[in-house]
Amino acid sequence: MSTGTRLLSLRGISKEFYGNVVLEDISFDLDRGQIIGLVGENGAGKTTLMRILFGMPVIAETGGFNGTIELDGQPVAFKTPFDALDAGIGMVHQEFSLIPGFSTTENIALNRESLKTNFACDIFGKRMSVLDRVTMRERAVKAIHTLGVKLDPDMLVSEMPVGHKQFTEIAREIDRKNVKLLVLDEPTAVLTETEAEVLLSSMRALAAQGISIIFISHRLHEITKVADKIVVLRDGKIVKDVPVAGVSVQDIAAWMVGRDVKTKAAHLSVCKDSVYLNVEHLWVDMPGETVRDVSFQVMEGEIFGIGGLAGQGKLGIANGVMGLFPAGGQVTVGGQDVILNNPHAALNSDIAFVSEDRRGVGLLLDESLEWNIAFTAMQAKRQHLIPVLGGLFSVRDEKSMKALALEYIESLEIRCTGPRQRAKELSGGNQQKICLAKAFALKPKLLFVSEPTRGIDVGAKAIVLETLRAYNRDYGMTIVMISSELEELRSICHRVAIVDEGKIAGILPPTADVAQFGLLMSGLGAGKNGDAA
Amino acid sequence: MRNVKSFVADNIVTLIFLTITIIAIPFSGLSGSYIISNLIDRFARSSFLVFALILPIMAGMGINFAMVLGATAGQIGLIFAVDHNIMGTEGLILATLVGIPLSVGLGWFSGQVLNRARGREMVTGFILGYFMDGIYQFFGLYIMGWLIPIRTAQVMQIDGGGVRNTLALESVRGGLDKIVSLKVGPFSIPVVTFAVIAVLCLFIIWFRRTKLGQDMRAIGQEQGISHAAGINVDRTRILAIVISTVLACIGQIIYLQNLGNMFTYTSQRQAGYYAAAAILVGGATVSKASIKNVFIGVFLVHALYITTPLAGKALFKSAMVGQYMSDFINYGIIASALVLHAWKNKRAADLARAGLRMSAEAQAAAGGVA
Amino acid sequence: MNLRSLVVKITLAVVYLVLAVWAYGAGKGYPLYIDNTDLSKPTMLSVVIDGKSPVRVREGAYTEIMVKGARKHTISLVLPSGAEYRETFRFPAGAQAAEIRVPELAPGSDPVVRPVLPRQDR
Repeated sequence: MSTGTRLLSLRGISKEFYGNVVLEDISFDLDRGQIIGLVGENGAGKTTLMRILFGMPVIAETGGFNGTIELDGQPVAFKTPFDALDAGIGMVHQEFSLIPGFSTTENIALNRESLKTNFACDIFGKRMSVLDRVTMRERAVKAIHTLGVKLDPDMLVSEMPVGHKQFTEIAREIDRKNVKLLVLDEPTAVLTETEAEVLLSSMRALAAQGISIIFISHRLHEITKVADKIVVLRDGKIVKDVPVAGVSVQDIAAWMVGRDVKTKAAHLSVCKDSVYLNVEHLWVDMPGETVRDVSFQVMEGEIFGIGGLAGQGKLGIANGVMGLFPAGGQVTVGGQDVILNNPHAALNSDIAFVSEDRRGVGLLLDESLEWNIAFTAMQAKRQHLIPVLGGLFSVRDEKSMKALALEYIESLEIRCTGPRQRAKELSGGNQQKICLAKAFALKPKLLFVSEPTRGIDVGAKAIVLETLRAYNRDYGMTIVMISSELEELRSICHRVAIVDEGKIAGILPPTADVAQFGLLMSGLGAGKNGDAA
Repeated sequence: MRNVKSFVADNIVTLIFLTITIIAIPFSGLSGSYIISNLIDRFARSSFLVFALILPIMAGMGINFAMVLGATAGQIGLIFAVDHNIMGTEGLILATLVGIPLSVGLGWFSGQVLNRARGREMVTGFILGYFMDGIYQFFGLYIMGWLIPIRTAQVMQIDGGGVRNTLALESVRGGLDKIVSLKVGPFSIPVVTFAVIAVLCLFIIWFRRTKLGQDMRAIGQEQGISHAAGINVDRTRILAIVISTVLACIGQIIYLQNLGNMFTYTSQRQAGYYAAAAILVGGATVSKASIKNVFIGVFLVHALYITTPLAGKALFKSAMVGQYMSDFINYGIIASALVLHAWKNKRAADLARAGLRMSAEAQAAAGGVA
Repeated sequence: MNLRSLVVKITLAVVYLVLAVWAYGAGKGYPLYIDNTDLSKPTMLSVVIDGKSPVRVREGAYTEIMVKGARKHTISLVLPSGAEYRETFRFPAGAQAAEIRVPELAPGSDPVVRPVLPRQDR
């Protein structure tokens, strides 16, 4: 529904964080009343781009950005998000920013309440004005009407279904006087199908009134349905900027995930037929990574990959099985039940876990390498301890600890000054190797690795992956690897499961087409193929 | 049945202490009219103080134990009035006029401190109260009589240094209560004091409808979101504390004019404990409080104060036990209300988790995934 | 800050100060000494000032009563016989305290109120 007049132009936007390029030469235009679908994997740069557009302080704090933004033909540079709001840009974030105990009306008018001044204002300023609830309600009703949805202006947010919350957020943005551009970041992620439909039609209604929309979504069919044009970001670059007409969901998925890398499954070991890990109806209450209902099986000697977008629950699975967050369901390892909600029990049943939270959970930062490597083995397996007085208490076996540390320093190529160096002095990649060594020292039959390559450089990545592969091949270690990087999963796993909204969306062989993975992540798998390998 | 259960769970503190009161009344052997006339007197005396706690709770800062600073300011005002020999209502007005600027300053200071101790406002406020004790004692015992001369002999310590530990407020006693005193049967009602309390109630109701009140309610629920919406969270929190401190100052003056004497260096601390206990017994939590909670709390807490010492004495045949009861009430209420608040939060989290469990188990029951 | 608000604020500040000054002046307590030490005509009496509760003064006693404000006051003296003297008086200008001698009281005449300088009493 473009009216042809240009509203926003981005020209040559680049941004780097500490030498790490996250956006490179981003340019695109947006007309009045146009809806742009902005897609890309996690880390493709969508969030950073929106932060730049909004003048989030974090951008200036990290050295600003290059390029220009023009709004209505005028170059703009917002210093704070409030400047952007004043210029008529509204944003609806992924997380709700509503006050739960306030009504729809109060939230729509939040901090923009209609006021009636009184005598007290002359003394203590305008915050002593009384709220004009009648006018506020009228404004709310008008905004809701513009959206074309049914919302009770007097209902409390805490009592609303999720869909209504999302509409309230959008209504708040369009209640602003001069709103020209709306940025909707994953607005449909929390909605049901029908609610999403309603939202899409309200977006069209808004566009028809001349409001432009940047629509970020990983539900690609919604993009094809509602957007006028689509911009695909990958690794900080625009890979496609095309009108949406004639573009299929598969096309977008393939552009998003990118280079159809030839996957080498050559080095993979052959896994046995017996089921080693069986997870049934697992739920985990991990904040931000809620697992709702997950069931899957892992064969003995298999490397099982779990992927999916951030926040969908993939991290919760490992943390739940290891007893780090409240969880429920059935988990058996090698035929034996794992007692949930008890980290010690999990360690005792030959499972080890390399946490995604290296600095928090994974390492004792102020302690030496040998301590770090031997610690869990000491705690869980009573290894590297010398019994004293007939086992009344025990002391650390410094010698065996040192030998252990030296062994792993060599095999994992940990760059350090020696086993006595403190963990916090190492680089990220080497810390990750320590975490792995710590887990390997337990000689587990089953290893959970969570985001093993997050934040480490390419060389270290290759070593970490190769080590995992080698342990799998040489010792028959069953590995469940959780990662946001699909390519990585595809390169070493026997099978890859994609988690979406706390559930397994589907399990694919690594050789499957990238587009298929993209579809699963987008919440519309090619049918629920369950455990099909 | 479920309604009854959740009603009990929501009002557990109030119900527990209501039960104790009902049990204590017959054992205390006090007559109904004695209890009622005492209640009227004590209600007029101390409900203003309790109102001081509403706004910080609304703003999500918990119970403002730093209201002790306001009470201190009120006491300094009274010391000034008594020392300058200003009598009656005029003395109280002067004490208030002296106390208000002091309490605005102290409130601003404690607001600043509490802003730097987000999430731990209550314990910080508590410690601020002790900190203020130190400054106040320094002021009362050394500055007064040295830099600021003491004019009236009755205010000075016997040895001539600083303000007396127990200060007679004879000259301002009843300066508010006795302006108009209405006799209804055996009871006398301090009309003006009740009028002041009524005005304060109206102020609170009106305040909740102002922009500032709305902002306080917003930050009380979600600081991050309020900040993102452009509300100046820090300033709003400071204002909540400043208003609370000023109300505590006035409240303490009203309280002391009724009593007629003050323990110069401990009365303010008692005010803090008492007010916290009262509002909690009234059914407020550290995150939710209303005028209703204040009224219920003040009545209930005083019914306890009146009856339990005597009931304790009658039951245990020891006057000591009775004395312990009032301390037990104050600290017991505060502690139990805080524990119950934590318990409620946990219960809410468990309920949310149960939802998660149920949906997974329902799936399992329905045959689950292939 | 607009003009209107400035005017209101200044007015408020002035009112605040005026109120404080008024409270200080009107509420100031002055000691009034009732001198009943002259035993030539010994009598016990009770003194009521401004309708407050009566204060009993014994023969030979010297009593201090605080009186609020330097304005006009009524004093009434009630003798045990029931005879009552009711008079009005005003504090002498500039005095910190004042004294009334019981024997000098006579019906129909203004009571003799003498200013007392603080150093001199006691």
